[in-house]
Parts: sequence; structure tokens; C-alpha cells
Amino acid sequence: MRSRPLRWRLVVKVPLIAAGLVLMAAALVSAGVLVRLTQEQDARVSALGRAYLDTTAAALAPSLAHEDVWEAFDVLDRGRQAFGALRLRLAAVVLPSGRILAATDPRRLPVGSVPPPELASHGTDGLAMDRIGGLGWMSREVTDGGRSLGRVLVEMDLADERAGQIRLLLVMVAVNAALALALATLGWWVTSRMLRPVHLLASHLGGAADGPPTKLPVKAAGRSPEARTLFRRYNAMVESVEERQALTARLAEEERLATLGALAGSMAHEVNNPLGGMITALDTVASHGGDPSVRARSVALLRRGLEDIGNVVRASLVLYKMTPGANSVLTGGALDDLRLLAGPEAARRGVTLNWENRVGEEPVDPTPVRQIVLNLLLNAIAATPPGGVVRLSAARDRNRFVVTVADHGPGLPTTMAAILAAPGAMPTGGGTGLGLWTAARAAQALGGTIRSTPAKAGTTLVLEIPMEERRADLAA
Amino acid sequence: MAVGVRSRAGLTRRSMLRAASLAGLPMPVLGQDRPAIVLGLTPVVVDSDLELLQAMERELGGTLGTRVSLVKRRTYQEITAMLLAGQVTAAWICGFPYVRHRDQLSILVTPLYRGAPLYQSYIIARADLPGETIEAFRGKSHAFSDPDSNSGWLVTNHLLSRMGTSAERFFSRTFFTYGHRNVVRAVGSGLADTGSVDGYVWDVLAEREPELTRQTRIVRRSERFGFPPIACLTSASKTADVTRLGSALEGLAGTASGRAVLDMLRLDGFAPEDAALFDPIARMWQDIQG
Repeated sequence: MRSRPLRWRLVVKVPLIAAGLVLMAAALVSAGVLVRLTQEQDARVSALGRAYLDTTAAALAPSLAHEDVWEAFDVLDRGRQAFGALRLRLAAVVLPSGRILAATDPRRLPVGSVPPPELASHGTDGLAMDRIGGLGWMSREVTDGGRSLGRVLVEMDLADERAGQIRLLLVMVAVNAALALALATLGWWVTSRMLRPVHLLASHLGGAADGPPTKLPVKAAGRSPEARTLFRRYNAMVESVEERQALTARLAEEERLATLGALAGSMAHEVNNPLGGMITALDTVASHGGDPSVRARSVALLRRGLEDIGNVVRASLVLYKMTPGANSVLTGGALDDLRLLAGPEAARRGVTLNWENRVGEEPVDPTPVRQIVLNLLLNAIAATPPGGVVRLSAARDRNRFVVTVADHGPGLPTTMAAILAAPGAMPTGGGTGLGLWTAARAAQALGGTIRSTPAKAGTTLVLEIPMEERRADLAA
Repeated sequence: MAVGVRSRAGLTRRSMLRAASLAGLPMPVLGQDRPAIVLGLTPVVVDSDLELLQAMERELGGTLGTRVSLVKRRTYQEITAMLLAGQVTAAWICGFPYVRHRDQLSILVTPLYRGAPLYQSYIIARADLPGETIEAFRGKSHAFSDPDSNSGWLVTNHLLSRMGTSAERFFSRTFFTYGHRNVVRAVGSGLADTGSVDGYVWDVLAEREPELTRQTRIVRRSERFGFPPIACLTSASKTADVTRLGSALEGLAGTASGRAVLDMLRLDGFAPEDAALFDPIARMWQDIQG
């Protein structure tokens, strides 16, 4: 994968930027120093060369006038020894005819020879240089009373100057590289330190996705005022979330108690309903117990009544006493219990329950599923006018467990739809919709959803919970 | 082309003297107190050694009990002119100017080199040039010492004349360096391919500055000639200064300090010699002129 510098981590970027800036500055400074050094060396060489030329030119005038080979050579040679600092490779006297009168290296430029044009033309306007080759040239006219007697030219060895420049360059490269490395390391260390509170915050925020966010000690932010502000604001946010969650939990508990109250009322009603008949049956047995047929009928009636009461009690026990997750298989019977629980409330409101349960044994946690479905049922019954129908269908659809609850109510209010769309958000409409919000959150915890599907009239809510593959395969 | 060649034509004694007097030459000895004894020196000796000159001045001055001054000039010509003009007590000149002014000059003493008042002329060449005889260097350049030098000019010109040629024709270019050591420098550096040099000077240089002579090699050694003598004006040869100076020079070998000076000169001593010692030089001069 191609790495994009803009996406590199700050702890890498900052040291690189620091090193880069140092190298850039160092390159500029080095170039400046080198240029200055070179200028000074040039000036020094130029001044020395001019001094040599001036001195020898004066001394050479008589020998040039007489074309005295030896005297010219002697002047050049002695001058070379006197100007040792100049490191002359060659000095030569050229006659106006262009021929050599004498040179310090006669083997290279013999007496009477014509110097190569590049040598003769070099340095007529001050110092000429071949920096790569480390050579410099200068020349000067020798005059006597305004008459040109010839030229004296010198070739200087600038290898030391060049070596000095290279040495300085190498030292600068080494020093700057070390400086850049040191600053990059320092930058990495400082950035790492500066980013430590950010990383701490990020890890706490990341943890918040799995559980409730926890507060950070402001001390851990170090002395950075920005980080301390960040930590304080984060802590304030955590406090606010905790408060809202506590409030929501309290509201949910109140809702649960309210539901329980409603259920208790309907259960009392269910228990009370057969009680009248059963007391009448007991009275019948008391007065006409001798008649075996009457006794048998009364006892049968008592049994049915007690069985109904027992069913209602058992269903509520199953719903509220079972440990969540203890039994991870939902049976059709367990779902049918909900009909018993919701049935009395439906009957009280004159609503018919249309029950279509095709559930066998499904690998879903039964406790939260039944709480969700009971919530949906009670909501649907509450929304349906008397004489209406609430329809429940439950079935497996491939690897999903699907329960559809449809009613003939006035339709889903927008607040409810919003709750379904974002179950993580808090309900906004005061206490209303709390049951649906609780159901939606429970469905989300199971990895499932509750969605509203379009219907001609009323509301159709669909609960979908994915089933574990293995369990699904086994069930299949 | 004859760069740097100074023609000998016209350099006769008379014209030289006339020119010298017109130009104010020879220059009188500078200094406030004119010393009692002045000895003129030419580059017949290894004259680059200031220490040697001071040692000689001290030694002779000590022996004579008076201030002795050694004077040097660039050319033989100037010293010879000073001698002829009576501006120096005596002068260490070459055998060649001596034979040319024999009518006016007398030999005071002659140095003894390796036991005899004799020396040779060498023709030397650049060490990196091949050639065993002078013939191999035809067309090369040549450095002479001085137009008044026997070993540094006359011997080679005489040899070439016997070969039926002349320096101007045989060599591509000739020039004067006005010093035997300069001839060695010129040939060693390559400024000239060959040179005519005093054999005594070359030998002493080979001992004292071997790095200089190592760049040259000897192509030809001449026969032996009379060593450059200390000469004086015949008219002044009996004066006290001249005779005392002759005795002092002769006596150098007799004292330790005198021998130290002679050691520096690589000489054995000074001795009076017969003027006939220089006849071979006179004959060569006649041959060339003839």
C-alpha cells in the first residue's frame, strides 16, 4: 500500500518536519559559508598573485628589454621561492612576439616556444580559475615607460583551497546531519510527550464504545493548558452522559414498574375472573356434593379455573424470574406464554389477538426477546381501538428470527419512528415512547433491529434478530 | 632567433673600458672607510656562500691586521675592469681575462686544487637527455657561464671551432647565466639542454648541493688548465698591500683557521705559479681569433 505523507502520524510528521527545516536552514547557511570561504580564498589568492606579478614585473623589465633568458628565469625562480604561499605551478615571461622568454618549468614551456592559447589567454582580467581542476591563472603586462615589454603569467595550484572547501563541506554535512537527527529525535520525544494526553483521551473514548465512558484524572494531562482544558471538558461530558444514563435507567425502571402494574392488574383480573365461578362451584359442591354428576362437573370447573390461574402465574414467573441468558433457546411455548400475559389486557380493551406462532426451537436468548415482543404487543393493544385486531406472527426466515406485530391503530407517531431510527439516542418526548425505546435498545443489544414497515392502516413493526449460524444449522 | 644571446662581437678591452668609464663603471667600493685591502671575486669560486666570504674576510683581515673587503660583481668583466682601474688590490679572476690582459696583469698566487694548480671545464647536459658525446647535442640549447670565462665559454667555443663550427651554428640557442652555479641551475631545470661549467665548481656543488647536480650529467671533461688565479696589476705588484695579501693567501694552509677556510673552498692552498701555466688558454684564444 502506498503511504501518504499527509496521513502519517503526528509523531512521525513533526520530527520529519523539524529535521527537514533544519536541513533546509543548514543547506542555506552552508552554502553561504562556502561562498564566503571561496570568496575569501579567491581574494587571498588574487592578492598574492598580484603581489607576485607586481614584484616580478618590476624585476623582469630589464631582462625583457635585453631578452635575457637567464635573468628572467632567475627572477621568476627566486620569486617562486619567495612566494611559497602562492604554490606556483608555473610562472612564465612572454615576449611581445608571443614566445616564451623563460618559464619556471622550462620542460613544459621551453625557451622560444609559443604557450598554448588557453594558457596565454587565461587571467588577463584578474584571477581565472578551474575550480574542479584546482588551478588558477593570472597575468600582468610588463611595461617600461608606457611601452609593453611583454607579459608575465602565473599558474597557481589551488588544490589546497579546493581541499579546504571540500573539508568544510563534509564537516558541515556531518554536523548538519547530526543536528537534524538530534532535532528529529527531540521532536519525536517532545511530540510523543505532548500527544500522551491525546492518546490517553483517545483510548478512553475508544473504551466508551464498549462500556460507559469513565473520567480521566486531570493530572494525567500534564502541564499543557490545552490538554487540561480538553480533559476537563471530557470529564464534564462523561458526567453529563452518566447523569443522562442514570435518568434514563430510572425512567426505564419506572416504565418497567408501570408495565408490571398493568400486568399485575390484568393478572388479578384473570385470577379474579375464574374465582367467582370457582366459589359458585364450591358452593354447589357444598350443597349438592352428594350428586356425583354435579360434583364431577363442579370439580372439573374448579380444575379449569385453577389451571387458568396457574398458567397466568407460571407465565409471569417465566417472564420475570428467569436469569437472562441461562436458556438460550426460545421455544414456541415460551412465546405463547405472551398471549396469556397480554390476552387479559386485550380482552379488557376489546381487542382481538390474532396469534400465528410458527416458532419451533430457535437459538435466540428467550428472555430479552419475550420482553421485546411483550412491549410491542402491549403498545399495539394500547394503540388499537376497541373491536380492532392485533396480529402477531413469529417465524424463522433463513438465519433470522422475525416477529411481526401489526395493529389497526392511528399509525406510528414521529417520535416513535425517531426512536426506532436511532435507538442509541435518548427519547425526546418526555415519558412517552419509553417502552418502545427500551425494546429498541434491547434489540440492538442482541444485534437486531426493530423497523416499521409501510401498512395501509395502523402500524406494522418487525423485530429481526440474527441467529447464530451453528445453532441455525443445528436447528435446520 | 637568438633570445638572450649576448654577442661577443665588439666587446674588446678598449670598448669595454670606454663604456665602463662613460657609465661610471666600474663602481667604486661602497662604504665610508675605504679598507686597506680589497680583493675582487668572480664566480670562479662557489660564490653563493655568504658564510664563506665572511670567513675569508675575517681570516685575511686577522692575518694582515687590517680590514679586508671582498667585492663581487655580476660579471667577470666588471671585476676585471675594477682590477685594471686599480680599484681593487687584487682579484680572483679567470685565466681567460688574465691572458687577455697579460700586458697589465701579474699572477699573485694560484689556488691548489687536489694538489695541483689545475682544473677542467665540463660540458654538462640534462640528466634526462640521452647522448654520450657533444655531437649528440647538436641543435640543443646551451648555457654559458660568462663571456670572459675560460671553462664557461672559451673551452667549449674552442672545441666547436676545432669541429669546424661555432656555438651559434651548433646550438639552437645559447645564453649566459653569469655564474657556474647558474649554469648548473639552468641545465638542471631544463632552461638549457646543455651547459659549459667550471669542473671545480661542479665537483664542489656535487658535494654540497647534490640535488642540484643530480639533475645534470657530465658529457665531456676537458684537458686540464691553469686554475683561476689571484691577479694584480703588474704596476702594483711590488706594493706592500699586494705582497702582504699574497703572503697571507699563501699562509692560509699554515694555520688551523686558514685551513678551515680552505676546506670550505675545497682547496689545498695558494702558491705562486709560473705565468706559463696559462699559455694553453692563450693559445685557445688565439686559435679562435685566428
